Amino acid sequence: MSITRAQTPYDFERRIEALRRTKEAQTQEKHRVIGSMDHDDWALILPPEERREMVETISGSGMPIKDVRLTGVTIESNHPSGGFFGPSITGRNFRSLLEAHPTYVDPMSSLAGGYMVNFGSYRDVGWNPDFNYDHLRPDQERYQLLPGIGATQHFCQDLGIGLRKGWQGILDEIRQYRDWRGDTARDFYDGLEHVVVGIQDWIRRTAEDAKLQAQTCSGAQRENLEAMAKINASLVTGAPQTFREACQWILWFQIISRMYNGSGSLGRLDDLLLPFYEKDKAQGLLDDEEASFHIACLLLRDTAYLQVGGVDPQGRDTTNPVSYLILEAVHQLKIPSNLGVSVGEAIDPGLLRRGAEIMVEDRTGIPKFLGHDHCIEEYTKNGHPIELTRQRAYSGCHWYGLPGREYTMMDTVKINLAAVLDVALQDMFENPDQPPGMDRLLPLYETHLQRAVETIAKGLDFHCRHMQDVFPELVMDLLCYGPIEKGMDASYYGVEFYNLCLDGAGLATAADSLAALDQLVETEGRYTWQEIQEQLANNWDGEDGEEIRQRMAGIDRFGSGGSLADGYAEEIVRTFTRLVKEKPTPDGRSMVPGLFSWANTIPMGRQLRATPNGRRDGEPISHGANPDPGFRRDNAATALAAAVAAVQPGFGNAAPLQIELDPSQVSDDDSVDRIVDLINAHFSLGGTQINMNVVDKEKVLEAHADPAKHLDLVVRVTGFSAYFASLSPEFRQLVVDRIVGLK
Amino acid sequence: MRRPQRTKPSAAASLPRKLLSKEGLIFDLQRASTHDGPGLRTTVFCKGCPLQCLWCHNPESISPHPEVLYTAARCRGCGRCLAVCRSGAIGEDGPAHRRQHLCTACGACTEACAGGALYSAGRTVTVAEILDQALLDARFYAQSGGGVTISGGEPMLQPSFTAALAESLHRLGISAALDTSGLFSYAALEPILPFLDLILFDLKHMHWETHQRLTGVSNERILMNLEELANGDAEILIRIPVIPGCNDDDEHLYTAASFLASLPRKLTIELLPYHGLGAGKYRELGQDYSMMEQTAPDQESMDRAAAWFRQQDLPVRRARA
Repeated sequence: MSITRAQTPYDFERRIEALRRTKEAQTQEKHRVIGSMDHDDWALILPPEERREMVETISGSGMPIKDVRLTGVTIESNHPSGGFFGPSITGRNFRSLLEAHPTYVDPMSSLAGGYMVNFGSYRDVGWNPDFNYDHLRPDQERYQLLPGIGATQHFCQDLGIGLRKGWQGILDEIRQYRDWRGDTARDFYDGLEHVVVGIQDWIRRTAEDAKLQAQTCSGAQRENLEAMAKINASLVTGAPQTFREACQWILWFQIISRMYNGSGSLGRLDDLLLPFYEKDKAQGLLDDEEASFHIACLLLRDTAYLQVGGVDPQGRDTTNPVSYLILEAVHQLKIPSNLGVSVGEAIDPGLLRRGAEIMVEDRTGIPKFLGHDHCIEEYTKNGHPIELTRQRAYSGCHWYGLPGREYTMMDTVKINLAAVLDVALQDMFENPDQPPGMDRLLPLYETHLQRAVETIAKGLDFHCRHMQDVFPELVMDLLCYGPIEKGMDASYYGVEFYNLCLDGAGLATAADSLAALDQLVETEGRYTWQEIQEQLANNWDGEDGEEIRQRMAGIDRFGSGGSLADGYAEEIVRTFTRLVKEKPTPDGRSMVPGLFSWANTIPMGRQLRATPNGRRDGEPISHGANPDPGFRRDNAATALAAAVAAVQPGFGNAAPLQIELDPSQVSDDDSVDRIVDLINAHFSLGGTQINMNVVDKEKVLEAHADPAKHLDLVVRVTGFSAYFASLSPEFRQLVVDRIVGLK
Repeated sequence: MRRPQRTKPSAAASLPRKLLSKEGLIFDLQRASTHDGPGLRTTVFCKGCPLQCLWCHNPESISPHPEVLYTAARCRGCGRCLAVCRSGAIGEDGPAHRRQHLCTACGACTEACAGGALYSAGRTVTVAEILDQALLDARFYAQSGGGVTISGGEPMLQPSFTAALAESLHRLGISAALDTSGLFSYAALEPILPFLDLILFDLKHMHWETHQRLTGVSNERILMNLEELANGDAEILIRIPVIPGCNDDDEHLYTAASFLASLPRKLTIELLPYHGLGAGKYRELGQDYSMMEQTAPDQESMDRAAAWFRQQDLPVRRARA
C-alpha cells in the first residue's frame, strides 16, 4: 500500500493534497489488480502484495464482482456446503478476520484505520441451501425479479448510540443481556461479542502501530501520531470526548461495517458532530480549519452516504456550522463522495446555494440534492407520525432510513417493469382465443405485475424469517435499538419498524413500449400485432425489421411532455404503487414503492429480449425513473425534471432524477441561480432526489476512449459516485449515452 | 390499468378562440433555454428572417418556407426517400446529394424516413399548440423569473401570430419576451408592446455598408426602431454578437457604445461570443458555411469589448467567452 510521505510543510492543505494523491494511487492500484469496479468507490485499500488472493464473489449490494482476499485468515464452516451460517460462527469468523487484519496508519491523516477486504468474499456460499425457496423460483425467474433474499445491510444505524456508549459500553450491554436471557439467543449474543472483541483488538493494535511510527518521526508529524495513538488507545473502550475522537470513532464503525457487509451510513453527520464541535470550540480546542480537516480525513477513508441539513422532529431547521464544514471538506477533496444537501421549505437555502456552487465549480457530480419535504411528509402515508418521519436520515443511493429503528432492504429488491410487460405480451400472444389489443394487454400487464409484487412479498417474508440464521447484521445490530435488548437480529424482529423497499426499474422502456404499441399498432394500424410479435421474437431481424424498430423508437417518448408515453409512465407508476401498497406481505410487513435501478440497468437488460420501444435484445433497460436519453431533441432539463416529478410513487421513497448538464449550460454568471431554480421547481412538483453531473462532453468522450487521460474524473454514475476510469466500458457507455444524449 | 387520456384540458382553454387559433410557421421550440432572457424559458423559433447574417447558427431560420434537412449520421441508406421523391430533389445518388433547389418540402421523404435522417424545418402551429407546450414549464418560470421568448428568425415577419401569442401569454400571467433582429415595421410592433415584458434587440453593426455586407441588409431601419423604442418605456436588452474580425475592432465598439449612450435611457447590454455550432446545419441544408475559418473570441477579447460599453456607463450584463 502506498502512502505519500510529507516532503513539504505539514499543514492541513498539503496534508489533504498528500492524502488525495495517496487515494488516487490506491484507486489505480485497485483498478490494475481487480479490473473495473462498477459500484461505489469504496475506500478499501489493497492488502500487502504478499497477502493477496483473487476471488470471484458477490458484493454487499448483491452484484458479482472480482475481489481480493487477505490470506492468513482462518474461516470455519458449519455446513456440508462449506459455508458458514448463523450468528455465532459468523461472529467468530469476522473476529478472525479482524484479528488478522493489518493496521493502517497514514501520518498525513488525523484519523487512523483503513480496511483491505470484504468479509463477504469469504462467504463461499451465500445462502444456506437448507432454507429452500424453490416454490418461489418459477415466478422469480419468469418475471426476472431481484427478490432480495439474502440481501444485506441497506438500512440505517444510529451512530449516536456508539458515540454515547463506546465499544466497551456496547460490549457490557451485550454481556448483560446475554446473562439475563440465559440460553435464549446465546448464539446471537456470542456472535455480537466476537465482533466487538475483534474490533477492540484491531483498534488496540492500530494505536500501538501509531505509537511506534511516532517514534520514527519528529515535530508536528510526531505530535499527530502520538495524538492518534492516544485517541485510539482510549477508544478501545471509552466513548469519544472530542471532535477528533468522534470522527475517529465514526470512522472505525464505518470501516468495520463496510468490511463486514458493505453497510454503514454517515447519515446526519452534521447533527452527530455538532455537540463535540460546540464543546471543543467553547473550550478553545478546535477551530473551523481543523474541524474541516478531520471531516476530510473521515470522508477520505469512508465514502458512505450522508446528508447536511434537515429538520428536527418539530420541523425546525437543523442546519448548523458543521453542515457547511462538511460541504467545504467535500469541495476541498474532490474525490468520490455521496453527500446529499437537504432542500426543503424550513431548511437553510444557503446549503442549496453552496451545493450548487460546488457542483458547478468542481464538476464531480457532488453533491446530490435531497427533496426533503416529500421524503418526510409522504413517508407518513406508511402509517407513521411526522415527528418520526422527520428523523429519517439519508443513508444510501436513493434512500433514507430511521436511524437504528427501521429495517428497510433499500435498493435490493427490484421489479423490472419492462420484463413484466414482456411476460404480459407473451401471455397475450400465446393465448389467441381473443384478438390481441391494448384492451387485453393492459389488464394482463396489471395481473402479472400483481403476481410479481406478491412473489416479492413472499420472498421478503422468507428472507426475514431466515436471514438471522444465514448472515445476520452483527455490526449494524450494535447500533440499533432493539437487537441487543431483544436478542434478535435487525432482519428478524430486532428493530421497531419494517418498511421494505420495492423499486420499479425500466419505467421508460415499459412506457415507451406501451405508447408505441398503442399509437402505431392499435390506433394507426401501421403494423399488426403479429408483425410486432415476430419482430420481438427475432430481435428486429425480420423483414423491414430495422425500419419498424426505428419507427417504434421514433414516437413521442416519455419525457417529451404531454405525450401518450408520458401518460403511460404515470399510469404504470400509479398501478405499481397501488399494487405495492394495497396489502402488506403475508407476515404483515409494509412494502414501500420507489423507482430506481441502481447499477442493474445492464444486467437486467441482458436478460430481457427486444422490447416494443425499439430496444434490442440484451441492451440495457432505462435508468430508474428517467426518460431514455434522446427523449427530446433539445434534451431540455425542465422537460426531464417535470417528467420525473410526475412519476413519483408518493410514499416517501425516492424516484431520483438523474440529470446531466454540459458546462456550456452553466457558464454564465447566473448559472448557479438557474440550477437552484431547477432544483427547487423539481422538488415543488413532487421530486424526491436529484443526482446531477456537470461534465464536459468532450472530456468524457476522451476518458471513455482512454481512461488514463483523465484518471481524476469523478462522476455520479447512478446514485453513487465513482472515478470514471474505474468503471467498466459498459458502464462508462451508460454515462456517455446520458451525456451525449444519444442512444 | 387504463389507456391514458389522449387529450387533457388545457389551462389555456379560457382564452379567446381568435387568439388560440392564430397560426404561425416555426422551426423549433426549445424548453429550458437559459440564453434567451432571464430565468428558465421556453423559446419559440419563428421561421423566416429578413437578415442573412454570415454567422447565423440557425440557417434554417432564414427562409420563410418549410425546408428539408438531412443528417448523414442517421441515414442507413434504405432508399425509401428516393422512392417517394416526386420533385427530383433526391436522385439515385441519394439524399446526401439532394438538389435543394428542386425540393418543394412536400414532406414525403421525411415521412418515409423512419430513422429521422431527413427531417423538416418549418411546421405550422397554432397559438394553442404553443401554449400547450409552454405551459408544461409554468412552475419553472415561476421559480426562476422566466417565461417564453418569441424568437426566430424574425418573429415580426409574422406579426399577427406574434401578437396573438404575446397577448395569450400576458393573459395567462406568463412573462413574454421578444427576440428581434430589429428590422420590422414599428407600426406592427406598437400594439404588441403592452404584452411584452422584455425586448431582446440584436445590434450587429453600426456602419450600414458593413452591416449590409455581413447581414444582407442595411441597418438604418434597425437603428431607427431602436431609437423609437428607447423613447418609450419597454424593457430592452441589447444583444451584440462579438465576431472577431467583423465587429470587435475598437472603432466599431466605440461607435456602438457612443450610439447606445446617446439614447434617452441607458440600456443593458449582453455580449454574445460567436460560436460555430451551427456549421453542421448548413451541411444538413445542403449549403456552404462561409465562416468555417472564423474563430471565437477569447475572454480577453470579451472583456475588452465590455470595457468600451462600461466606459460609457452602460451596464453590461453578460460577457463570457
